[in-house]
Amino acid sequence: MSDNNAVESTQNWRGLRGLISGGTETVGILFAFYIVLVVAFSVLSPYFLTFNNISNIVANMAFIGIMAAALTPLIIAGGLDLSSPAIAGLSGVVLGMLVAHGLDIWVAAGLALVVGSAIGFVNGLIIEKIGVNPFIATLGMLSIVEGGALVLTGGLTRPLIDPVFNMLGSGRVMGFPIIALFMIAVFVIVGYVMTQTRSGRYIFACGGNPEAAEIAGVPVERLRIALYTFSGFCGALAGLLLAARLGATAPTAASASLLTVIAAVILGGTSLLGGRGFILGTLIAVMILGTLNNALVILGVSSFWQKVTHGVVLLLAVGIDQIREKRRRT
Amino acid sequence: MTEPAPNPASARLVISGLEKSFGTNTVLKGIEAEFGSGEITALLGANGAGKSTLIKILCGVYSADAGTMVLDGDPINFTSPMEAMASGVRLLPQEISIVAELSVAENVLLGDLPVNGSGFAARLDRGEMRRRTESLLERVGLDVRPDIQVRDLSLQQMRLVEIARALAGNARLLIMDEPTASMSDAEKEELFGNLRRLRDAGTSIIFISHYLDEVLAISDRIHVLKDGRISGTFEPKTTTEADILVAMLGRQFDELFPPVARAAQDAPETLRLDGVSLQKGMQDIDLVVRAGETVGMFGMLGSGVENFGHALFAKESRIAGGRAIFEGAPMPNSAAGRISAGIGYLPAERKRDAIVPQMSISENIALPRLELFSRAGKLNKRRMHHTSAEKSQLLSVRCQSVFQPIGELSGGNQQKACLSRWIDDRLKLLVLEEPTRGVDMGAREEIYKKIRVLTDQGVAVLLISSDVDEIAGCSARVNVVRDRRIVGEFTSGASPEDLMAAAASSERGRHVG
Repeated sequence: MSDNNAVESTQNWRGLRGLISGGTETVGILFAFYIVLVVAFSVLSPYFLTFNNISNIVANMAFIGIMAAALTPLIIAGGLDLSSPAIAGLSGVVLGMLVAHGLDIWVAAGLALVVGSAIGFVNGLIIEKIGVNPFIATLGMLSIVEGGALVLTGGLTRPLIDPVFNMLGSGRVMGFPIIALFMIAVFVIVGYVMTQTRSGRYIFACGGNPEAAEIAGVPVERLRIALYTFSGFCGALAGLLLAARLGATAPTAASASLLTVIAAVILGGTSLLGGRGFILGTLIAVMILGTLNNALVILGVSSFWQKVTHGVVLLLAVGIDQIREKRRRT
Repeated sequence: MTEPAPNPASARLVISGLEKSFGTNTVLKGIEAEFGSGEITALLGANGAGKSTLIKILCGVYSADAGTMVLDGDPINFTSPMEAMASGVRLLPQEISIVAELSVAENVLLGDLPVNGSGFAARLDRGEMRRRTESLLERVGLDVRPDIQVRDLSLQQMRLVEIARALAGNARLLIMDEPTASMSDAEKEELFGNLRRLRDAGTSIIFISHYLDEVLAISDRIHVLKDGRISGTFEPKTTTEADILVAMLGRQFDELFPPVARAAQDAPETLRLDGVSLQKGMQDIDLVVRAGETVGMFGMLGSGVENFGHALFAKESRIAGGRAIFEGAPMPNSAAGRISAGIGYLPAERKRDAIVPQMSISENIALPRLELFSRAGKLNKRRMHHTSAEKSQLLSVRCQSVFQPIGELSGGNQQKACLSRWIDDRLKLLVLEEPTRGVDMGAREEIYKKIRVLTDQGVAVLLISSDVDEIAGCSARVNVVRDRRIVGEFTSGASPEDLMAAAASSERGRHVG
């Protein structure tokens, strides 16, 4: 009786739907919320809605965005990584030390990326081969990496001055921050892989039902290890860009951003249980959190309130999503 | 206690004009039904008939759009499962839901643990727990100590614990969804005895099953659902399976099993097992499946046959000895290797091993063969959706579209979708494990037809099932398994009774919980 429905729908199918992988509604609501924030703040302050300010927000959030972009597919695939902000700190330290020993800064940056990826790879091995719970494994790794960075530096922040390298953090191309271009590049790559490739479908399958995915021939372990490695790589990349932006390397430079990174992924509609999530949601969530920070500063609200607002927004967003989900089911 | 009811056979639950829609999809179109008190009423219906929606409304999971429900004279409109339970309506779901870390007694009495004292100072009354659990276990016929952990029980024993838990709540109306799934005949009989005793003590039972013989044996009244309406109400004494099937399917139901396909003597051997032994499983398996035939494997639960398919075809093959030969070469060990060689595997545990519930039907169908739709990793989704839609139609999977999450489909449609994923011209060997467990009659018939079509096209089919009628009806040859070994091979003339006798007559005697 419904014999023709399936094929008809196939023909009605449009590419756009695939790009956001069925998350139209979640992403739409997030975006609407973002617009409301922007409108509200531009009414409250004349300084808010200027090109300069908006590009500042993006530049300030870029290193968080890069880590969140890598964390999104990992959580969808049923993993978790708490260690990437610690890796970011370490990669800055590695960069600073190698440069101090006379190594070329670009070679040093490349080595820092290798170190970050290697740590991510080890995370993957511990979790997938030994079977340690990802929360525990990466919490342990966080502590080791952060501690290691402190040991290497004695806890000191060191200046990192290299005009060209620092451009990566604070330079602009046609008015647009270079650091933001890095973030956008990472989002585009992750978005492409998640929505347009075979590996993308594998990511969702392995989070949705690892057992069934494995039986269907999906290389579950290898895929997750690759995602942990990528998360480590992005942690290191974020750390390098942050060092370039700050003009300094500090062992715990990015540690405080851990909760923001996770909040962005969850706020963006990714399920902590795996199997469900949207990269575009993560990007908008990063912008929402950045906008809140920025607006509170402009409005002269104490920065301590930033943490409180992050928490409120996260709980509101996830709560509303749950209520909608329940309604949809009954 | 008020005065006795004027009519002992009065209705416990009266449903009238019940309607329910999901979006534009009207699932229930005005249900009119009565469920007597002290009566076992069967609820039958093909997949998508509205059975599970109706049950979920009864249990307070969904609320109805229109219509009334009256329980013992009081209008009810449950807004949560808790309310339904408090009113004595209990669902015993098909999927085992048990806390493996707790003891049998704790599981049985979970909703109402007996305590001494009150408030925070209340201590568990272990003696009372033991007494109550023992009496409940006796009622379900489970002979285990109340203090052992549930994780140490077999799957069947867990089912009995679950039934005991449902009995522990003072249910007026017990809804049992396929309570006999994976039970032996002896245990079924025992369970039916318990259900009759419960009924005679005044409990109403709604019994849901796909097995008509069971339904006819146990129920006092049979409601058949079709397309969101009650299409017929029957009394088992005065009805036949054929009448019920007509009400379920809306047509004459003649032949469930198509004629058995027989391979030519010289047909190539697609799969050959030479003395294969599995880790912690069956030993010394010799087996040949030729192109174009269906070979059955049958054994009782506990014989080892239940782990055979999973051990050999699910993930890394767990072969401890012997050789598995596929088309003249060693069978690939990995899932990916077997799939690309043309081996399809339909696991028995569909929810655990086959589907990714959040993903679309299309993606689920395409999952094992995604490389066919990708070039350099880039996925051609349009082609994937098209192919999946075509495949799903081969088995007439009923869905809104192939973009619907597969988790929203009924069991039978999920199963048809899972089977359809393997159907393409690369398929050489199809391993089916319990292909029709939890699947309604209509879908069963389609699955059997499809198996026949595949063998005609030269596919070799290995059918592993505990449904003896299915094995006898589909297989050219049947290997009977007992005590982890193949104890005999039967040709297609063998009756279900012969097969059952061969599988059940263990020298040591069958252990029954």
